Amino acid sequence: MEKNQILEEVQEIFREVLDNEEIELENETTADDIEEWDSLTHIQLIVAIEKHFKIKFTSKEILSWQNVGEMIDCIATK
Amino acid sequence: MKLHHIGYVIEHIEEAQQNFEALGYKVAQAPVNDDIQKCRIAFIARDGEPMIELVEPYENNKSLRKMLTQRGNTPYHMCYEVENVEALFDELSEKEGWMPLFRPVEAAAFENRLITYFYNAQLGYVEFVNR
Repeated sequence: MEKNQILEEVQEIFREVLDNEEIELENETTADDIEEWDSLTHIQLIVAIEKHFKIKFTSKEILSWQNVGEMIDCIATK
Repeated sequence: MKLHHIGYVIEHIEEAQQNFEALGYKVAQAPVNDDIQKCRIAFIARDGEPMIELVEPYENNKSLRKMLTQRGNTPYHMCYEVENVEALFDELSEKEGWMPLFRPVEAAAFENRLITYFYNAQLGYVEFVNR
């Protein structure tokens, strides 16, 4: 799947989980940019992303992401 | 490892404390502000039992404020006291089904002892605090 497509689908998941239709994701987006994105909602996002793409992340992968772009790169490798 | 406390997310610590008194609970630790966790935290206890942690989220703690809105005052995590949180963090991070929320950090409510949180689909949110 193309990374742009993955980003679009992940953005939809963010909007749904964080209940905010105005969220716009870019590769450089981090939790500092989105008010509702904290450690608790981060797990909710990961669970939703895993379910949507039918993949599993390792703890090492989850902890390694510095921004949305790195999360997308990881999804693309699955 | 032993069960240290059950964590409740609540609207007002003092109001919750008053109601828990009817069940025999007494204040074990007065409220403390934890700016990292963005909560005000207090502990209540009954003799010989794990404590109850009362977690009153700051207004800007969106996720816990949302949990409160959706569920009202409610228990939402268990916390276990362990010998070495950092070693446990490394161990659980390797196990399938355990998702870390963050690496161990100092917690104001525990005299700056290290804590960490994991999510497990079967258990929900589980916290660990260093002895």
